[in-house]
Amino acid sequence: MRFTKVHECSVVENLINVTRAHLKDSSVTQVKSINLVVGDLTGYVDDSLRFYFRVLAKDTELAGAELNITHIKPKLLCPKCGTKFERTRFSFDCPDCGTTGDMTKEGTEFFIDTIEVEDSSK
Amino acid sequence: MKRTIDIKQAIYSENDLHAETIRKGFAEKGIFAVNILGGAGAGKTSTLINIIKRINKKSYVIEGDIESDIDTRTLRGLGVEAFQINTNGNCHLNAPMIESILPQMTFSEKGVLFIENIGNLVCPAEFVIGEDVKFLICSIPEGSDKPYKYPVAFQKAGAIIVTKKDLLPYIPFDIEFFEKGVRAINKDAPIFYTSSVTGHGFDELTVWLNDLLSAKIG
Repeated sequence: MRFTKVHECSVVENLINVTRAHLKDSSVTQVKSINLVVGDLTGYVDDSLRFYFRVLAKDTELAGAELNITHIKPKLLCPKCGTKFERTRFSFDCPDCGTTGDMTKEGTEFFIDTIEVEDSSK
Repeated sequence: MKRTIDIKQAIYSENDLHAETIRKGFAEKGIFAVNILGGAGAGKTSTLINIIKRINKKSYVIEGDIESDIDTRTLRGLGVEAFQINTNGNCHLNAPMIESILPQMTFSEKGVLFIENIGNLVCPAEFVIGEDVKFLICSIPEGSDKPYKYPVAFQKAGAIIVTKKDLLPYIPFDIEFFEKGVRAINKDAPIFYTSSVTGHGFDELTVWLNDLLSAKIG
């Protein structure tokens, strides 16, 4: 069985599907922008997301919409002193007390926050 | 009129719905599914072969590869029911891909399905594909910094298998640094050190897996 899709391409497809599902049966005439939240742990690259969005949205009602991307830095929580911190390279240790920090959900986000639209209602 | 629509919906949500349907289908058939993650050349297929030789349950395999069916042919040559998905460039398997191949698989008896993901540690970690557990496979030559570089993959793993242990005398690999990194992000997953050359570690790994399978599918 063979499929042809590359890297960010398939997540942009999902992004488009999720957004279009929200537009179904609405009076929206144009989508101005899509506001995305992307945690840095996902590894998704802005340029690639925008490139595939342009290509895949071309023949849909999302064509021409701007992709605004807000990045979230991953944060760890120190179980000893409660400090929330960004890790440094090759370490998960708390900068205040040196205890190994626990991963939090911050930095894993990947969701559509809002969309800005024009609609025909008055 | 210009207005804002609140969406607040995860982009993986569509994939996750498909994955949940797949997982339920597996559960009904008595299939325990393992999603195998690891970089290219980490030893995913060799590990699978060594596990399958020792395991006391029927094994099935879905091989995900960007191109080629070399691994599938190897597994079929050993009598394993193996099925191929080629992604032609896509760096991960997703739930709809698994759904597409399931009609070809009959699952004549209950057992374990190993799904070998595409060789990288970034995007395969993001997509659930109907699995009960993820195994993360990395090798001694890849270095002991992997948990620090790919924390998401290590965080989500239910077991971590470090392959090519026979190379430990020749390659600098700091086990203490590695395990400190793993434990920072994953407190519970057992860590196994294996060698497909000597067979080291596979008995221990298989005892653990057999126990897990007995608990899950009887």
